[in-house]
Amino acid sequence: MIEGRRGDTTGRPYVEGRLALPHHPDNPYALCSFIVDTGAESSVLVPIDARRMRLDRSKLQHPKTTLGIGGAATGFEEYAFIILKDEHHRKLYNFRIRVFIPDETPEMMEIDGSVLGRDVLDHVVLTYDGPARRVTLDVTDCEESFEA
Amino acid sequence: MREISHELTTFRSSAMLLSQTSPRLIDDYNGRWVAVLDGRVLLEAADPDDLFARMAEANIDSRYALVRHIQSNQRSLIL
Repeated sequence: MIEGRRGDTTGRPYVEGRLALPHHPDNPYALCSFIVDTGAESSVLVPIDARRMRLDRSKLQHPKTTLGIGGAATGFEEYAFIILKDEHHRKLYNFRIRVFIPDETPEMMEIDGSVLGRDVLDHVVLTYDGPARRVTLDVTDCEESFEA
Repeated sequence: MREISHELTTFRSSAMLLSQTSPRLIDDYNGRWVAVLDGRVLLEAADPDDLFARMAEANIDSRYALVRHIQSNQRSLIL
């Protein structure tokens, strides 16, 4: 079981993981606190985390536009690895996905966590216990797993 | 993979600082941008550009640090 957490002031559900862009020439990566979002069709690397991983945006290759409650967002889509850790069973799970990387704007900089969307969540049993402020993920299928 | 496993365990421990209710970061850093590493706030700044500049000056590897804007009047986030 992967243990998530709830933010103190935001109340948002988070889970920690490692996001890497293996097809980017610089092979950048960063550890991220992902907002767990079952409404998101794909995972998102937000600008604050893109800066943390020192992403060279000039080398992104696949433009994409997405639609959210705030309207359209432009950016890029890139092949990515997201690794989550199950501390209880001492396992690492690697999810191969295509992550959306929105352009950096002042508003986007305020979003404090990248997003874990259904490209990953479709492969887990997600338990969200509001009263207990608890979030857990049980991986049901994953292409790659490793002993931690 | 062993190294990644260790990194994730350490990072999660740091992230728990943002979930704890006592003491609360909001009490000391309201309105500030903070960098959290190894379970404590290492740097703070008024804006993200300044925070990233300070992290670079201090040779802090931002890939392993949490960067957050601590604020009591959070704007509603509807993704």
